[in-house]
Amino acid sequence: MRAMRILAAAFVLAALGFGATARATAQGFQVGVLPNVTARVILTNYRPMREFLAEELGRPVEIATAPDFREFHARTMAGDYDLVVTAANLARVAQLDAQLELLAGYDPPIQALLVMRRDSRVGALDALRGKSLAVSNPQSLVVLRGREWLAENGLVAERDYRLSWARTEDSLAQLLVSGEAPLAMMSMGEFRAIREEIRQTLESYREFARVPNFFLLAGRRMPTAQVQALRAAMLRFPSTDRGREFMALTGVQGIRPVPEAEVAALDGIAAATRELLR
Amino acid sequence: MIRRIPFRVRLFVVGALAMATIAGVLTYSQAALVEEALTDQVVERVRAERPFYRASIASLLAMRDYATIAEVFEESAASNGLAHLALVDARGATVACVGWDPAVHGIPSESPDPIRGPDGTLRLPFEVPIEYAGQKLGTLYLGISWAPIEAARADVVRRGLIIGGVSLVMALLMLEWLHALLMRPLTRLREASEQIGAGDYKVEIPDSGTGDFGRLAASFRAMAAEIARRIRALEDSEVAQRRLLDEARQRENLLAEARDRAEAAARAKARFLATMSHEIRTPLNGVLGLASVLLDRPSDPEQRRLVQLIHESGEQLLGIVNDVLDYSKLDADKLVLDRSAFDPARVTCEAVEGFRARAEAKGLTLACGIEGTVSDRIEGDPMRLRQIVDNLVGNAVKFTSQGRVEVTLRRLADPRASLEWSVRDTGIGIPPERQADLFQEFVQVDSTTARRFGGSGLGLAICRRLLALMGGEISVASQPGRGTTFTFRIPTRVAAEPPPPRPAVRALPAAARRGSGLYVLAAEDNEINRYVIEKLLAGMGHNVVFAADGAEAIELAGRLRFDAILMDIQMPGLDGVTAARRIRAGDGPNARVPIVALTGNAAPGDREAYRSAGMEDFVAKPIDPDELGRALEQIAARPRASRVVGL
Repeated sequence: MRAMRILAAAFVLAALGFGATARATAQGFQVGVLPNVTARVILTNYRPMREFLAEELGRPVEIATAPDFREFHARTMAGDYDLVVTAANLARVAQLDAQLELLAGYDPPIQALLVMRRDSRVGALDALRGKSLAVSNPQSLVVLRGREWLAENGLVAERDYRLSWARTEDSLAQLLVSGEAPLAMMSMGEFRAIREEIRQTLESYREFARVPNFFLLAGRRMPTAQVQALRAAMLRFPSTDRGREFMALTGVQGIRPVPEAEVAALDGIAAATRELLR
Repeated sequence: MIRRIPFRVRLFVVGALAMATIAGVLTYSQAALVEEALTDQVVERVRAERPFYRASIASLLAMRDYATIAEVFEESAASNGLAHLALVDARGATVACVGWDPAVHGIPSESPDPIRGPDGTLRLPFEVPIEYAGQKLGTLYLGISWAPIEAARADVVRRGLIIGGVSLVMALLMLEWLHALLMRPLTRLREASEQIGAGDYKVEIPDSGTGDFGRLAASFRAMAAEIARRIRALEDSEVAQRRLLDEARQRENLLAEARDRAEAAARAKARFLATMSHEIRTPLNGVLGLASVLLDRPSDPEQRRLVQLIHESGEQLLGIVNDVLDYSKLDADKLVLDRSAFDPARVTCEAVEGFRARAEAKGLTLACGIEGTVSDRIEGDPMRLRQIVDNLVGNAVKFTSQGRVEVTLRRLADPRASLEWSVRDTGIGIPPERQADLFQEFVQVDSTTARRFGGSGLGLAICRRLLALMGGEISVASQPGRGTTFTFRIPTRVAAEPPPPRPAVRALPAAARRGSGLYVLAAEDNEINRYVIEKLLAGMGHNVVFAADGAEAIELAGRLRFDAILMDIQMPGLDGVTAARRIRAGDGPNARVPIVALTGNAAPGDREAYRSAGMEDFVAKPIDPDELGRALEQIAARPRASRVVGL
């Protein structure tokens, strides 16, 4: 009888341990966001979306990101996320290479900026010649479009100027503040994410292009109905309170279906994108 | 047992125990405080660092940058005193861990108490939820190593032990110092007190400053000086006392010598008086005895008158000698009263009757009366009572030329059952100024009285002294020319037995007196006395054989048979008492024959001695023919077969 009790107690303890393990396997709905800004900014800005989706899906939602674009894209391609929020060029590559379903895209288009120190005397792009151009993500659509635009204006990367990579937007600003780079290339969203006291010392030199904003992809292969429901939810999101809060935080003005033509227009830089992701 | 341990050791042990206790409590409390403070510090540190952990790890978690997290953990665990670091993501999966694997060892939940890790070391477990923007990203489990706290606590304990040890050593040194400071003066005082106790009062007590010990030493010095001063005073007093004692002893010796001399002188005086009394009375006995013999013989009136005068003069002289002898005995406290039963009325009236012839010759009326009821058997000395009455009545007859002399006996109603005698006369009286000295020795009313009436002047003094011996008193009331009344009283006690009957000798018929025909042995050394006794006994019709001393009396008593033996007491060689004892002790024919003592000084104690020697009666010297006749007639009155003493 006593032996039975001991066995029963051992079973209970084993069950508890198994329970802990079982809890460890439960995973929330993963929303992967391209790390164009710091993880903390992403977590802050995407909180309304996380809460909205958790309510819509009836399950926990986790906002996730990656140390850099390449890693993020690799995870995207690996299907680590349920919902992927990534740059348009990276979305097109994932769509093409991993057959991820495009759901929607943010409005408005991204303002691609050249940013300088407010007290600097950059008068022309030639000021960049022989200097460094500060960028955060070489694989980003803004940088790809910026390099094309600089080339159109006679400045070829690694020939007329060097690319200085910074991990975050604050680090990007630091390159300007320190004088290491006279100009930095970034989106309006990244510019806004710079800490206020530093941002006050900076100003836009020129908006050199407007590129498509981030696209939303279904990260894994899922049933069509689920894809449709997710798309509908995301399209409805901006009209919700949390959606409005999200837009106030991120500068996104709406979520819209992406026309096929707009998607196809990105094919031109897909190869360059793939090249930079290697 | 404990009392045998030196005070210093006891003091040290108590002090050490107290210090060890205090050090232990302080160390324990300090260690606890240190542990508590350090724990609080750790908790505060972790609490303060929580935002940092959240901020730093939240981004890495959001980025799924687990490699960086692992690097950070490795570096942190190595440098921040962290015993373990474990990060579990929101799914509960272990992201990174150092020192504790939740998948293996379980979740190290936060606890206020340290827990033991897989490697056996203690650590304080904390739990930091990693959240950002409301999103739970995971949980950081960190364990702050308990080793520094343990080390700090051990350090506190070690320091406490070191401080305690050092304090103990210092306490020992201080105790030694205090002992030297406190005990040395006390030790010196103790040694000084021991020296004083041993009698050395000149002990040196060193100065110990002006503090308590200084005052104590000063007081001790003052005490020692005072003791020394008192001892000196005592010694001086002792010397003085010894001197006084010596002087007193010398005085005592002188006094003793003086007393011895006085007593020797008194003894010599008493012996002289006794000797003189005997020497005087012996010839006086002869004179009186011869006068009595002559008076019993027919003679012409003139001769008879002369013999009568001789007899009276002799009796006066005998009275004076007896007074002097009594006085000398009283003065030397040698006079002892007899205690026998007697009838006071009979003794009084017989004494009064003794003066009748003289009173009637002077034409006086002599009366003896008893008032009320007087016991006929009281205990006392009848002879001395008779002597007092004789003296007072004699004086009354002597100093009264006309009128009467009355003697009255009455019983007083006082607790002592006193008897009171009053002797009243109608004589010349006594002046008041002389009455106070009347009972003093050698005092007479005046010199003309002495010349006119004679006397020794000792009579009243002897009366007073005899009454004092009897517990009585005497007083006088007198008016010159009208008479005097002497009153004396003595306390009495009724005797258990009645007084022996005294046959009246004078009532015996002359034929009886002369017809008894006793064969008498008389031991008498004085020749005149032998002659008187011979004539008296012959006159009474008795036959006598004389022995000159005691030895001859014994010899005759052992050889011849007698009806009675008359035994003089004071004889040369063997005295009468010894001779009587030997006759009684022997088995001769007179071993039980009545022996009558003849003595001139028959004190009560002497009479007892006579009785114990076997003598049944005594006759005083000078021999009264009537008394002698009465004694012999009592013997003669017995049947011949019973004329022996019933011993």
